[in-house]
Amino acid sequence: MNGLKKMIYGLCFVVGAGCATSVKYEDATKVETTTADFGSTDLQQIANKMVDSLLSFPPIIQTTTERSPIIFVDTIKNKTLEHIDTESITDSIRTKILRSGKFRFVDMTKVEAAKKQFEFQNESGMVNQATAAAFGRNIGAEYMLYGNFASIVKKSDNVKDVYYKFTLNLMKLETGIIEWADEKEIRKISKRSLFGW
Amino acid sequence: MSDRLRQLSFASLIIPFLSIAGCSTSSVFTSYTTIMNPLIDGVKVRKCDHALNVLKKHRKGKDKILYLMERGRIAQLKDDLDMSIKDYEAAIEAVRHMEDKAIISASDIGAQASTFIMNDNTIPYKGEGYEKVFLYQFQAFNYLAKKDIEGAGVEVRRANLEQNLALEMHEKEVQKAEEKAREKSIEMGQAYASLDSAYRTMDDVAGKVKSSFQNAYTFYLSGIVYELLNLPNDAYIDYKKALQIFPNNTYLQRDVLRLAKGLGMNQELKDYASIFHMTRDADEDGRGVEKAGELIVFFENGLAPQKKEIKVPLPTPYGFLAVAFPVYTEKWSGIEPLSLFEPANKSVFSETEPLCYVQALAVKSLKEKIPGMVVRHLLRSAAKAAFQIEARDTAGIAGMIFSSFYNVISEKADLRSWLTLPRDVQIMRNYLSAGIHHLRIEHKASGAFSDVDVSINQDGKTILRVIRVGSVFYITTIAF
Repeated sequence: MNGLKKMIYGLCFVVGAGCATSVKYEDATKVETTTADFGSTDLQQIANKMVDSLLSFPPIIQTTTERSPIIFVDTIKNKTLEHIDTESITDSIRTKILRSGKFRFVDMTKVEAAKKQFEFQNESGMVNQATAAAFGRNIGAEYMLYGNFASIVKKSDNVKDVYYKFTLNLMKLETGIIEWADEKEIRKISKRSLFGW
Repeated sequence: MSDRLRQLSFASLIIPFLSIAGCSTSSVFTSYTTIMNPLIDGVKVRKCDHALNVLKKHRKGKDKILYLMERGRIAQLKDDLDMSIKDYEAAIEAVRHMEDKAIISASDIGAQASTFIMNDNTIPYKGEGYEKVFLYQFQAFNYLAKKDIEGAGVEVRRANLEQNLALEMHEKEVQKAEEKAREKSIEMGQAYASLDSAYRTMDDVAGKVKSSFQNAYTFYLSGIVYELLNLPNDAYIDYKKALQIFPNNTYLQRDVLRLAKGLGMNQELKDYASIFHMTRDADEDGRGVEKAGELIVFFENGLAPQKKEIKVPLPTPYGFLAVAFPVYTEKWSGIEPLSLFEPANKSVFSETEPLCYVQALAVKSLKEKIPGMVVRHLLRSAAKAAFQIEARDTAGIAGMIFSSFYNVISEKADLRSWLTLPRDVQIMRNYLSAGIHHLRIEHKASGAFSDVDVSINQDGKTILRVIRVGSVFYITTIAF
C-alpha cells in the first residue's frame, strides 16, 4: 500500500511540474524557429542585409561622403500569405540607416500630427511667436525607399516549404532613377514530427 | 476467463461510456444539427446574439473549428467585424494546428479508437476542403469591410493555396480510402448494396460540380482584390480560373474579355471573343455610362444543406446490425436569382447569375468519404456486436439490455458540417454613374426584398454583399 501511495505522490509531482508556467529572458537576436512563419529572426536578417548592402554600395558611399541626403520611406507591399507588419521591417531598416549617420529621414506618416502642432504654435495665440516653428522650412526628400515582400509556399502531407523574397529599392525622386536595389531571400522548411500528442 | 476478469472487462467497456456521458452537450450524443438549428432559427429573424453566446461555450472543445466557423459567420452577419475576425483567426489557427500535428499523434489514435466503441462524432472536426476555402474567403471579406485591401489579399492567397493543396492531396486521399475499402471487399460489397439506394439520390446534386472544393466564388473575389490592388495580371489569372469552373457566367466572360483586352493578350482575346460572341463591348468597359464606377453584387443565397441520419443494416460476424449513416436528402432545385431595380429611373439592371453551388460541394464531399466511413463502420459494428455477446455472457439479461441500449444510443451518424454557409452564390457586375443610387433588391423565390442605398465612386468599385437567411437579407456595402 505504501508503494502505491508513493506512486500517486510521484505522479502528482510529475503532472504538477508540467503545468507550472515558466518565464525567462532571452537574447533578442537568438535564432527563433518555433514555426515556419515569418518571425523575429527573418525580420532581423532582412534589416541587416538591406542596411549593409545599401551602405556599402560604392555610388552610395560616394554620395554620402560629404552630405547626408534625405529619404522618405514608402510602404512595402505585402504579397505574402501572412499578415505581416511591413512597417515594423521598414522601421528597423530606417533606424539602422539613421544610426549610421549617412542619411536623414522625413516621416510621411506624421505629417498630419506635425501640421496640427504647427497650427497650434502659429495660430492658437498661446505660443510665444519667437519660439514657434515657422511654416515652410521642412526639407524635401531626395530619395524614396520602397519595396515588395513576396512568398511562395509549398506543402505536402508532412513537409512545408516557405520561400520569402524581400526586395528594397532606393529611387532618386528628381530623376526617377533607381540608385540602389537589393533583395533578401529566406527559405524555411518545416517537417511534421513522427510522434507526438 | 475467471469471473473476476470477466467483470473487469465488462467494467472496462462501461467506463468509456460513463466518461463521455459528461460530453452530453457535445455532438457525441446530441446530433450537431439539433444543437445548431434553434440558433439558425434565431438568425432567420435577425436575432444573432443568442447564437453567438451559445457558440461561445464551444470555442474550446474538440469541434472548435466548426463552432468557430459558425460563430465567425454569424458575427459577420451581425456586422461585428472584430468578433468575426477573431473567431475566424482562431479557427484558422486550429486548422493549422491540426495540420502540423505529429504524423502519429496520441490524441488522434485515442479519437480513432473511441470511434470503435462510440461513433464518428468522437473524431475531432477537421473541416472539409470546401469549408476551409470559405473560411479564408470570409475572412477576406472582413478585411475588405475594414478597407484593408492588403489584408484581404493575404486571405485570398491563403484560400487559393488551400484550393491548390486540396487539388494535390485530394486524389491521393480518395485513392487511399478506396484501397483500404478494397481490402475488405467482401463485407464492403454487402455494405455497398445496402447503402446504394440511400446514396443514389445524392448523385444528381453531386453531379453539378466537378470537384468537392473548387470554388469559383473564391477565385472571383481574389480577382477583385487584385484589381483593387492594381494588379490586373493577377486578377486576369483568377478570373480565368473562375471561368473554367463556371464557363456560362456572362459576368465572368465580360471580366475575362475586358482584362484580356486591357493586358494586350491578343491571341487569348481572339479565342475568348469567338466563344463568347454574345458579350457586348459596351458591357465590358462601361463605355455606355458617363463617369462610371462599378457595382459588384455578391448574393449568398439560403443555407447549406444539412445531413440526415439513416440506418443501414451492415454485416458483422454476429449477424446484421443497424448502423447510422449520414446522408443528404435535399433535392436539387433550380437557381433563384436576385433582381436589382432602380425605382427612380424605372430601370432593371439585370439578375444575378450562379457562381458557386455550395450544396453540390457539400454533397460531393460526403460522397467521397463513404468508403472510409464504411470501413470504420464495419470495424465498429463488429466491436459492438462482440460487446453485446460479452455482456450477455458476463452480466446476463441486465448486461444484454444495457449493451443493446448502449448500442442504440451510441449509434449516431456524424451530422457535422458548416451549416451557416450559403446554399449557393450568385454574382452581378454592372457600371453605374457615380453618386448615390437608391436600389431595390428582390428575391422572388423567397419573397424577400429590401431597399438599399449604394454610393458609386468614379472609376471605383462598390461591393454589395447580400446574404439571404430565410426571408431576411443581411446587406453590406463597401465602396472603394
